[in-house]
Amino acid sequence: MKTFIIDDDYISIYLTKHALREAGTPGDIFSFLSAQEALTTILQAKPENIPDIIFLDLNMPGMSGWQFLEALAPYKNRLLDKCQIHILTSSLDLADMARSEEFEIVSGFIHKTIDQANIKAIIAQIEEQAGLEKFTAG
Amino acid sequence: MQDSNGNRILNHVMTYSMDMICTIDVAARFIQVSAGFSQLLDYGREEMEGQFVRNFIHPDDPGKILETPPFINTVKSTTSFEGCYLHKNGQKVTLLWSVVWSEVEALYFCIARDTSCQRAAAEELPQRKELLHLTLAHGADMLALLDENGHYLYVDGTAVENLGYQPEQFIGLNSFQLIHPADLSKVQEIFTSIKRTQAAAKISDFRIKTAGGQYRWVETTISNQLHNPAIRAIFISTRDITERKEAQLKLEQSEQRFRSLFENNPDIVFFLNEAGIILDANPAFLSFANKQKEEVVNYSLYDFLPPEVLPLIKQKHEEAFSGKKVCFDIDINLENLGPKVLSIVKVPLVAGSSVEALHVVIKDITEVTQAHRIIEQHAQRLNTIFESITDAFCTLDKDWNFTYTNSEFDRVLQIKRHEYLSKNIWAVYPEEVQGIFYQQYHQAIATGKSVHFEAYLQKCNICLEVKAYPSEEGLSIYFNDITEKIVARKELEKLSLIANKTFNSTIITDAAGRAEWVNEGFTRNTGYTLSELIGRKPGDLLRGTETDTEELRRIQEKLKAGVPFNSTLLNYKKTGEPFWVSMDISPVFDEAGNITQYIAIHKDITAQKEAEANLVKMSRDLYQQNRDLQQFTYIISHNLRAPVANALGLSKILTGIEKESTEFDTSLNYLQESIFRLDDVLKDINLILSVRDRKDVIEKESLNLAAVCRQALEDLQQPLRQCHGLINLAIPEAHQVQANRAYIYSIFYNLLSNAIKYRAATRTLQIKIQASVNAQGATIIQISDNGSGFDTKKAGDNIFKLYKRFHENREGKGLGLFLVKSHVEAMAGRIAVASQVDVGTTFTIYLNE
Repeated sequence: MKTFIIDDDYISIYLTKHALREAGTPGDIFSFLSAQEALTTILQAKPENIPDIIFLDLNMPGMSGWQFLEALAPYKNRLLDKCQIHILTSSLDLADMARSEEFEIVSGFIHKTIDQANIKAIIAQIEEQAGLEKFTAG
Repeated sequence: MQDSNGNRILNHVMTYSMDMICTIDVAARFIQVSAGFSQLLDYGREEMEGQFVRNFIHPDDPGKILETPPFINTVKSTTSFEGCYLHKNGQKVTLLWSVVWSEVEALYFCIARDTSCQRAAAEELPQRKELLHLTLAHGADMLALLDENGHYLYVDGTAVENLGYQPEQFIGLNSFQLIHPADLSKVQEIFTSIKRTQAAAKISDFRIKTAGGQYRWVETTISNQLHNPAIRAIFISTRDITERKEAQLKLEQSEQRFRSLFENNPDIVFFLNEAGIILDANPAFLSFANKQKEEVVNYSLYDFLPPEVLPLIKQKHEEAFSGKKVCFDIDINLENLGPKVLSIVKVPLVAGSSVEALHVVIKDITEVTQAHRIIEQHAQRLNTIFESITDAFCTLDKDWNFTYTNSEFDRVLQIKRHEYLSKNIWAVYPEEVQGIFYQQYHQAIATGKSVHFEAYLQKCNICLEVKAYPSEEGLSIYFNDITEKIVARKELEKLSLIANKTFNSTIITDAAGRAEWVNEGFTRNTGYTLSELIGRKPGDLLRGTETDTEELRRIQEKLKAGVPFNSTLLNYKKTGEPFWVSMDISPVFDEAGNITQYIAIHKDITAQKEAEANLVKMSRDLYQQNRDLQQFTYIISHNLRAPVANALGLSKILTGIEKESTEFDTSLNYLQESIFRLDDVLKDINLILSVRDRKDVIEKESLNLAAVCRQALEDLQQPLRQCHGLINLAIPEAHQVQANRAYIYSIFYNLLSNAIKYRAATRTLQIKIQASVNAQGATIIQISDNGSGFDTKKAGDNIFKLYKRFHENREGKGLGLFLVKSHVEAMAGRIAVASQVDVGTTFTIYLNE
C-alpha cells in the first residue's frame, strides 16, 4: 500500500505522517511540499505505483490543491478504482467542502489535524474493497 | 273614144251624182270617189282617191270586208253588205254596199247608200229592253242616255230626286253643265275617249251640281251605245257616292294630317320593320343624321348607331315588337354629332294580331338633359356645401319651422330627420321657449342682425356655440357642440392654477419646441423669467458642458415620435450652477392628430441625485468591506487555523511520547514554530485592520520620493548585498509627492523586498526605480526587476490578494502585495503589474490622479 501526503507545511506533514504511523498504516508514505511535483510523480507512475491514498492540502503556493485536482480530472478513470483522494485542510470554510464535492475523484474531506479514527476508517474501507476484489477475482 | 266617152260620163256621174259611188282596185285603194260619197264622210274627193279603204272604216265595222285586200276572193260577183265608215268628225256612218268586180277594169265598182236613219228606226224598239238590261248590269242610282254631244236624252233613277231635279228637267240639258268645273276636264276626256273606243269606261269620283246648287259626289259608268241599234245613245249609269267620298276625303285629310305631322315633326320620326330596317324617315331624321332619304330608307337603323348602344336598342326593339309601347332615354355618342341624350318612344303598329312595324319618335333631349343635370349638379353642390359645413346647420322659415338641416345637425342633436323636419322648432324643443335660444333667435329676426352665443340645450344635455343669420326666408343657424371645450376650458383653468403654483417648473412650447409659457416655479428654479425664455428653445439656455449629449439625442427622438416620455438630465441655472432635473414631456395634439404643443414638467432632483451618488459610493464601500470580510474569513479559516491546528496536533503528540525522544524535541520545536506563526498572522491582521481603519484619516504630506525610497533601500541593505543586487534609482531628486510617508515607505519596502525574494537564480538582480509626472499632474512610480516573474494569466486577479503566493519553496506568506495595494488605494491611487516568467516584473503606481 502506498500513501501520498501533499502539503506545503512541513509541520502539517510531520503531524499527518505521525498519525498514519500511529494508526498502523501499512506500506510506504511519501510526502510532497509541492503539488506540481506530486502530480508529475503520479502521471509518470506505473499503474502499480499509483498511490492508494492521497492526502491533499488545498492552500498551497504555486499549484493549489484545486489546481491539482483539475489537472488530474482527465485521468480520473485511471485513478478511480486505484486511488482515494482525501482533502486534508485547515480551512473551516464550508465553500471549500462544497467545492470538493464537485470532484468525482475526491473521496473525503478532513479538517486538520487528522486523527487516528479517520485513518482507520479509510484503511478499513480500502481493505474491504481489496478483499471484495480478491473475492470476485477468486 | 268610146273609152274616153265612157270616162267622161263616169266622171260626170262621179262629180254630180248624189249617190255614193266609188271604184277600188285590187290593193283596196279608192281609185275614184263620187262627190256624194266624199261629202257624206265630209272629205274632199282628192282626200280619198288613192287612199287605202281601211283608213276610212270605222273600228266597229262588223265585217271589215273592205278593209284589207284581196276581198276580191270573197266578192267575186255582186255582193251587198253593210259597213261602217268614219265621218271626218269621228262619227260612225253606216253604209249599205253593192259591189261588183270588173275583170276588164280590174276594179271594184261600188255603190253605197246611207242606212243610218233606217238603223235608228230599227233600234228604237229594243231600246227599252236594253236599258233595263243595262240597269240590271250596273245597279245604278241614276240612269241616263246622252247623245254624242253629252245632251241628256233620257234620265231615270232614284238619285234624280236626290239631286233635286225632275227627270224631264234634264232633257236637252248638256250633262257637262252639271259637272263641277274642277272635274269637268277629266270627265270630258273620258267622254271623248269612250266615243272612240266604244268600250265601257268608268268615271270615278266627280261632282254633280244639285238643284240646290250644291255638289254631290258620284261615280259613273259610261258606255257608248251609239252603235247599238236598240239604244243609239251614250249610256251612263251613275251612283251617288257622296257619303263614301266624304268618308274617304276625311280619311285622306286625316292621312294628310298625319303625313304632315310626320313630315313636319320637329322630332325624329321613322318606321322600322322587325329586322330594324328603316321603312320611312321624316325630314327631321334626315336633318339630324345629315343624310338624304335614299341613304337611309331600306338601310338598317343599326348601321347608324355606335356598337355600345346596340344591345339596349335591340332589346327595346324586341319589346316594342312584342306589342308594347316602350319609352326610354339613352346616352349615345354619335359620329360627327358628339355625345347626345335621346328620348326614344317606340310604338308598335298593329295590323290584325301582329306587329307590322314600329313607329319611332326620337327627341334630342341633350340640351334639356344637360340643363337638368346642371341643375341637379347645382343642387347637389349646394347640398354638398351644406353637408360639408363642419358645423351643424339648419334653416328655419318665418314660422319657425325647420326647412333644411345637414347630417351634422342630426348627429349633434341625436335626432332623426323625420322627427323635426317641417315642424316648429319650439314644438320640438318646448322647454327652450323663453330660454336663451328663443330670445336670441327672436332678437335676430327682430333686428335683422346675426347673433352669436353659447348656450346649454337642456334636451340633449350639451352646450352649443351658435351663430344665427336672419334672411328673408327666415333664419340660418350654424352651431357646434362645445360641451367638451367648456369642460376642457374649466379643467384648463384648474390645471393652469396648479401649473402656476407648483414648485416644479412647467414649460409649454409650440410644436417646434419654442417656449410659449413657463410658470413661476420655472423662474424660481432656474433664474430665467418668462420674457427671457419666450420664443426660445428651453434647452438652448439650460444645457451645459456636462449635459449628456446621448440623452439629448434620445429626447429629440422622443419629441419627434410624439410620445410622452421622461428624461433625467443635468441642467444649468442662469447662475451657471448645475442641477439635475427629471422631465416629463408630453405632446399635445389637435383633432387632426397633429402636435400643437409640448408640455414639460421639470422636477429638481439634484438632492435625489446626490443621494443616489452617495448610495453608489456606499455600496462600493460595502462591497469593499464585504471583500475584506471574505479575506478575513479566509485568514481565519486557513491562515489563522493552520498554525492552531498544527499546535493542537503537536500538543497531542507531545502528551503521548517520551520527553527524551527526538520526536519529542521535533514536536516541541514545531509547536513553538506554530505558535510563532500564529502570532505572525495575528500581527498581520492587526496591520491590515490598521491600514483599513485609517483609510479616511490618513495624513498626507509633501514627500521627497527619492528620499523615502532610499530609506527603504537602506533597510534592505543586507539582503541586497547578499545577492549582489544592482539598484538604479532614477527618481528626480526634486520630485515631491503629496502622500503618506509610512505608506510610501511600505510600498517601496515591500516591492523591493519582493524583487529580492523572487529574483532569478541564474542572473544578477537588477532593479530600476523611476518616477514621473504626467500631463494631468499625476505621479507615476515604476519599479522593474529582471527576476523570475510570474504567469499573469494564471495569477489572474489574485495577485494582490491576501495570502496569495505564486512561488513555491520561497519565503513569503502573501501579505506584501496585499499591503502595497491597500496602501496605494488608501491614498486614492492605483497599482498595475506586468510580468513575464523568467524575464521580470514591473509594478506601476499612479498617485494623485
